[in-house]
Parts: sequence; C-alpha cells; structure tokens
Amino acid sequence: MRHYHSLEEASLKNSWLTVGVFDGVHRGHRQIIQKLVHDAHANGSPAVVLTFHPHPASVLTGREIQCLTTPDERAEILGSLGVDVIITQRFTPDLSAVPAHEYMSRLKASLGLSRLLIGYDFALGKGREGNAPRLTEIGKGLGYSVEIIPAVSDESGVISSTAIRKLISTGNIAEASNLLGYPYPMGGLVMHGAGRGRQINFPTANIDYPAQKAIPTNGIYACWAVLGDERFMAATNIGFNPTFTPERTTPSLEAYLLDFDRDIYDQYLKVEFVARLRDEVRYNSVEALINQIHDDVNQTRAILSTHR
Amino acid sequence: MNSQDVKNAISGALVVDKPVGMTSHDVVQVIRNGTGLRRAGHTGTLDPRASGVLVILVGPAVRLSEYVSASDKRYQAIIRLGGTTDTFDADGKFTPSTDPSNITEAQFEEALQTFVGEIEQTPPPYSAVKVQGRKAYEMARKGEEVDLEPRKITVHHLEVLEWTPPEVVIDVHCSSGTYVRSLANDLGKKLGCGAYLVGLRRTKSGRFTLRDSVPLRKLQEAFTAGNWYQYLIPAAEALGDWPAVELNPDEVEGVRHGHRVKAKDADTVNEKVRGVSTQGELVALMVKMVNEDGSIEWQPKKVFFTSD
Repeated sequence: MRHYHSLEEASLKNSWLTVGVFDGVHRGHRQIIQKLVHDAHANGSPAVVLTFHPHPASVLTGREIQCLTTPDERAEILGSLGVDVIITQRFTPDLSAVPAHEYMSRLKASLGLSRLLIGYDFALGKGREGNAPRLTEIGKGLGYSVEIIPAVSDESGVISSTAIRKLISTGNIAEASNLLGYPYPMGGLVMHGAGRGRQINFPTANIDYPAQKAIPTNGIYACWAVLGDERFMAATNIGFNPTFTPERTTPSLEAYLLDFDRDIYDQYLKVEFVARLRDEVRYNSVEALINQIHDDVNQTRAILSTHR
Repeated sequence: MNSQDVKNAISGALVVDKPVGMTSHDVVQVIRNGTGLRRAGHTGTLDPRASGVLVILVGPAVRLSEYVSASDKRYQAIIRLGGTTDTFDADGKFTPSTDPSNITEAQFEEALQTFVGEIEQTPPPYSAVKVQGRKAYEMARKGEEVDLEPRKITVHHLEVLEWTPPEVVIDVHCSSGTYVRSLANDLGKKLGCGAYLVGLRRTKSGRFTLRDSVPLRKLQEAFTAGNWYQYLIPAAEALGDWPAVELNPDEVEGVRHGHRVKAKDADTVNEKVRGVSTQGELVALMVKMVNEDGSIEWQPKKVFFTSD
C-alpha cells in the first residue's frame, strides 16, 4: 500500500479508482472497496482510492466535523482491504470550485484513470455538476469507463458515517462498533497529566489524541488498551474530571490499565472502546469516587473477559 | 505540498544510543526540539542509569509502535562480585561480603544457568513497584520494611561475555518486567559471595540493535547541522526484518482480504512474521494465533500492496 498526500506525487497507469471521504471505512464502504479491489486485480490494474482531508463538508459549511478516522488510520484500513494506492488530497474551497471536466482531466493525467466506480448519488466538481451521468459522458471523451454502484445496505440498513459519528457522540459505542465492523479506536502519546489519579492510587495514562477524532460522550468505558505488542484491560474516562476541575473545556482521555504498574510516558497507547459503563459524575468526596472506580474496574474485568 | 504536508511526510524511527544519566523522556524532548515535531514517542522506557538502544518514533509512525516494539528485552550487564548494596546496584549502601576470588568461571556459569526459564523474581526494594498502592522506593527511603511479592518473569538466555572477576559482563535476554538488578543480587546469593549491578546497557529493542543506533550526541550535532534526516529510518523499513513465511497464491488472496491462513507449530504463538508471496513480494505482517478449537492460524495485522 502506498499513501500519497497529493495527486502530483502519484504517477500511475491504468488505475481503477473510487473517490469519496470513506470516513471510518465502515461496513458499507468496505463492500464498495472490496469490489474495487477484486475487479481491479482481476483486470491486472491497481486499485486506487482518492479521498480528502479535511472533511469536504466541514470545509464547505465551516462547521467542524469530528471524524471516525484520521487520514493515516483511514489509509491503513483501506490498505488492509487490498487497496494499492491511497491519495489523501487536501480539500480546499479552491478545489471545490474546479469544474468536473477539468478535475477528471487531472485524474486522467496523474492516475491513468481507466475505470471509475462511484455510488449512485455521487457528485463532484463545481456545484456538484459531476454526477454519475455527467462523469460517464466526460469519460467518453477522456477515455475511462464508469460503473455505478447501487446503495449498499444490509440488516443494519444503509450504513452512514454521519450516523456512526452520532452514535459515538451519544455514547452508543457498541452499535457504532457494529456498524464500523471493528471496535472504535483512539490513540496517542501518553502525556504527563495532573497526576491526580496517582494520588488516589489509580494512576491513569493521559492520551494526547488527535484533535480531529470523534470523541465518545463523557463517561466511563470498558476498553482494550494496546501498548506495543501487548494488550491490557482498561477502564477509560472521557470527560472533564468534574470532581477536580469543574472549569475544563476539552475532554480528556484517560485510561486506567488493570494489573499494570509500568512507566509509559511518551509511549503510544491506543484504546479500543468495547462498552460504556456509566456517566461521568461529580462526587462530593474523593472516597466516593474511589469506591466508584473500584466498581468500574470490576465491571471492566467482567465485560472484557467475554470480549476478547 | 505545503509545509504541513511536508511535516506529515516525516514519519519513521530514530534509533538512539541513550547515554547514562538521561531519562527516556529527556531524550524524547531533545528529539521534539531537534525535529520540530511534537509527535515523538519511544517504544519502551530505558532506566536513567542504563545506556543503550532507545527507539523513538516520529510523525505518523508513532502509531506503528504496535508493530515495531517487542515486550522482550536484551541487555549487557556488568555485575560485581564480593558485596551487596541495598539498591542492588552501585547507587546503594555497600555491604562487603565474602571474597569471591575462589569462584571459578565454571561455577559462575553453572549458577547463572539456573536463572534461565520462567522464574520467580522479587523486585528490588528501591523500585517503582507498588506495595499497597505506595511505591516501594518511597517506603524504602523512609526506612520502612518493604514486603515485595515475587512475580513470574521469563529469562530467555544468559551468557558470560567477559570473565574478569570481580567484574563479569553477561548477556541477558528477558521478558519485560524483569529487574536485572534483582538478577544480580539473586546470583550473588546463589554464589554465596554477594553481587550487585554496576552497569547496564540495552543492546536490543524490538528488531533494533546497537548497530542500528546513533549516539545521542551525534544526533544532536546533526540537528544543528540540519542533516538529521539521514538517521531517520522510514516507516516501511522500520518494520524490516521479521522472519518471512511464504504464502501460495490462494493464501495471498485470502490475506489481502484480511482472512487468516493456516499455520504450524503451536509453541511459537504470538510470533510475528512477514507474509511473502512466491515472487518475494511483501504481502502482510501476520501474528500466530491459536483458535478455540486448537487450530493454529496466521492473523494478518497489516496488509501491504505494491502499485507497480
């Protein structure tokens, strides 16, 4: 798998391509991607995905969208599905104003575009003029063919990244993971925190997660923590630590690893969310908080021993 | 590419030979300042008193710690016979013991080999291990009795490298969580002459050895000269030399779609290998797993594709 950050870096021939945001690369996306990979390889062609960052909707509306995957995470999942080349193009207002014909000419030049797979409702270019019929017509002149994929649905209905983002933001982590097809991960370097957990004998790893990631709603979650080549059970707190810092504005992600007493500052730690345990509550005493954490740890152990 | 894209493109490993006296965090800070990248983390703490291999991942590659770190460690340890200290190393209060001059290399070797395998080890009283929620060294410093529980560790290999009594240099290959200081103390007890650790150098971390590492001072000079990039091991290469397992064309197809393939030999569970096609192309990084029915399979962890 190769991951490029601009069209100019890629110099390909005979590509089979699909274009989209593919945030989360959820089960619905994967059906399109797997078809692309299968058909491209059967034809001896590279399977290529062109995607964008930041999220086009956030650039066009000015509304911040917190994504299910960072560009690297998305490329890694696409790569694991067999995509040969991933291009993450920087999405800007200028790019959105490029007419469809010009944009397709660029793809023809950089990627040697041979076949384009798109969803039935897909559109690109200035004013979304490049819908399926228009892109097919442009292809006749530029020399590529278009395949239109009908809406993908399964027992969960039509899966959408927007719906999954909503599930995560409301703490419905189990359903979000079901639609994604993998447990929702958040990772980052372990930074020095306030050390309050240490004072109450529940030292937590304070994870510096990427700002653009979707954050599960405040609360306590049972997670698997991945450190290097090892896995540990973890009770993870997302929130503002109301018992200690009622004034905090961005949620912290802190994992208490069970049966663990190592120094992991400056190491990369990833947590995979399995289940939501409870809301974050402000306690009047540290003792009440400690009792609650003991409960959280017991629940985490019980849930994860049946969720490898 | 704009400057943000250039920064995103810097991704890989800097393998440092850490000098004695610095913490792993100090080294990470030096690298953050030198590279201008905030995203830099290491793959396993090295004690301030120890020197040797410290792997620092920078840029998006911090996420690769899952693939490049290994929980086993390899050290060169210098042990001094003929006395003990309360810290089990040269920093502690020294108590002379019996004269070690009558101990032969063969006797030492015999005693040494009794520590190979899965053994019980009691951590040193001056360690970060917690006793009823308090750090052992804090209790030890206050003169309190520290009652540490022995824990199971694995010593894979022990070998005498230099026999220059009263100092002996040994090669130690052990699981994470092993205290080489305790090993020295226990060895002294077994020999009857007492022993303590006077020097510790990590020779291997994951796949990186001292031969791959650059002295920190040299790296700092390169930061000043602006040519540190020569020491960066690109992300793809950092995953380098896992043993290869050849996959037939059907298996390649399966692995590319994330499916497991059959493996042999249950005693090397969790072994990590590169899955390679009959044409020698890198297909995937895979880990050996045992299923509930006892069958053994390779689980693809990361799948690669080439675009040409």
